[in-house]
Amino acid sequence: MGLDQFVRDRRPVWDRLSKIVTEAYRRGVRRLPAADAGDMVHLYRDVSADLARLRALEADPHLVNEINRLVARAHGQIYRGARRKSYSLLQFFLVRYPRLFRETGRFTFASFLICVLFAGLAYRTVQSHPELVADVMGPMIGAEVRGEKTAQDIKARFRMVSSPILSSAVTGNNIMVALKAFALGITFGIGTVFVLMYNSMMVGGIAGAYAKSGVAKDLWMTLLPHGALELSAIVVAGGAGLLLGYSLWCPGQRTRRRALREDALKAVQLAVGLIPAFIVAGFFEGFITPSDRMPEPLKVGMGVSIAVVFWLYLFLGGRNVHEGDAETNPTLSSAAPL
Amino acid sequence: MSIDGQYTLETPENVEVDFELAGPGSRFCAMLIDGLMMFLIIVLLLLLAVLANFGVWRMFPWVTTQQSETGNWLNWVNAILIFSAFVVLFGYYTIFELLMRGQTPGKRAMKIRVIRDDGTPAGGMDVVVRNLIRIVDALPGFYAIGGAVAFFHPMNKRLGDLAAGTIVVKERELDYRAQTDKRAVVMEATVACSNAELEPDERQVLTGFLRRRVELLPDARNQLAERLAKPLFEKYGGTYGDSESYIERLLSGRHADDPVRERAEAVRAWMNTGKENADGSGPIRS
Repeated sequence: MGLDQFVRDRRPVWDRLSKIVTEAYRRGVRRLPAADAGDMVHLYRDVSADLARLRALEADPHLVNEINRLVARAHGQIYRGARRKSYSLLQFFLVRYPRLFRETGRFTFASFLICVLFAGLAYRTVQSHPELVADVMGPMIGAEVRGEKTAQDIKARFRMVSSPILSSAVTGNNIMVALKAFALGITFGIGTVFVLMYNSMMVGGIAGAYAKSGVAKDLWMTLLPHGALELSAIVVAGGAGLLLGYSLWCPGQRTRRRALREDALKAVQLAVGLIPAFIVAGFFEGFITPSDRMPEPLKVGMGVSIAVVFWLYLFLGGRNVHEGDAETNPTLSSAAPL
Repeated sequence: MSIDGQYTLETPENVEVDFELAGPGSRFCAMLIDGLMMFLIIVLLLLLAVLANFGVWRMFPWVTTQQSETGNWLNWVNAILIFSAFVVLFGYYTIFELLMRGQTPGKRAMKIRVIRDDGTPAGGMDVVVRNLIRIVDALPGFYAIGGAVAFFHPMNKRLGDLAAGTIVVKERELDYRAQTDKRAVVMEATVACSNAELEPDERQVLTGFLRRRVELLPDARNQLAERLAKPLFEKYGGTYGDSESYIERLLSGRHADDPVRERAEAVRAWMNTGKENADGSGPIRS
């Protein structure tokens, strides 16, 4: 059969596959009629063979190019890889998330150590050399650590704007910091360490400044209701970034590229899963912390206990649930048609 | 052999499939469009905020309810607007790439799409990863880091693509029918391109030109065709006609043929094909 004849004969087949594939991209492969989905697989094999044949016969490059594109598009829809284990949202938070946390716990611990170290450093330094801390932290925070503090100062900070606005702005900002801490892990963890350092020095420095003025108790009373949970979640987000950075420094038996991909998948879940915690912390910061109606011990008690619940959840959650299947390695997708 | 801007993958059927990678240009344009969209959404949110905060009721004091009530209600509106701004800034790309299967409005306009390294559609977590790492790619401004990494990466990957295992590919609808109808003559005349006389590198250059000519602007296309065809015409001779047709004929070893007669024959052949297929009598095999 001559090439011209071949092209003429096969054109309807290519058209048909093209139509099905376009539909699959538009509506999703699962919403294709069953007959079309079946046809797609058969036609794909045939057109693959056509492509090889056109290449061997050295047909018009433009035509080869188009058929190649058709095969590529069909291939994408057919070999979708083994479906990753998909979790319902509930299952993710009840079982998967705490397990993931424990699996990567050493990075959260490292993050915790960094935070404590630099918060402590800033706390100590601000007692004797507030100017030094002010210079390191920049003018915004610098103004906070200088001079005498009163109990009113700290309370005023949370009453400048109304509860809903404070709550949503703070939640958004915290989520941003957490996602940044994760994303910066790709700078071999250096960026993450920097974010953790900056945030912990800020907290430590401000706390130190209030302690110096003798109103430490008022500070903690104001900070703990929302801060206990908020800072905990930041520490975990730092762990996600450190995990990403570590996979680049020490990929082990894997190539760096592969290690990055596998661990990025874990780290991103660790970071994104914190969003509800930040929303709760933001609610506390907007509505509980500035409240005048609630006595302070109650506020602190609520804040601390919600943080304790958070850690208990991370360490104990999903422990006795039988998942029934080992964690499937998400990047090891065995190619199986549909 | 791997041509620049192309990514070859072997399917389980042992057929090699080429993906055309999206270049820095189209990705940058897509980013500009998306940036503009985000900007417009933020402006809209600001406008809503202005309307809500300095709304009409301020102009008619007797209509207003008590100050505190309005204030309360306004606070919630403002809170929602602030949070929406965060969602737009951090979720725009993720949300659209999830909803539009690897595309954003900008990417759709530029006809490019995010897919996984193995040619399959990008999954939810891939999209989340690549768009969170975007924060780093955008540092310190104007996508300096991401742009630099993509520039040196053979598959134009920015950091987010590296972490998620994704690539961005050109995607055009299959348009060989439209193309062939317009250029039926040319196509039928060059279906077989096998000229043993040509040096391998000459062949590669010519094939490359034919592959990419539809993407070129008419002027550039003509100039390039001329620059390629002229020296080869001096070397191999034949009938020149116009540059592009000479290249096509040279590839198929028919450069000595008369292009005018060739064309007439091809048109006749093509019209016959049209008739055959129009009444559905064309053989369909699958």
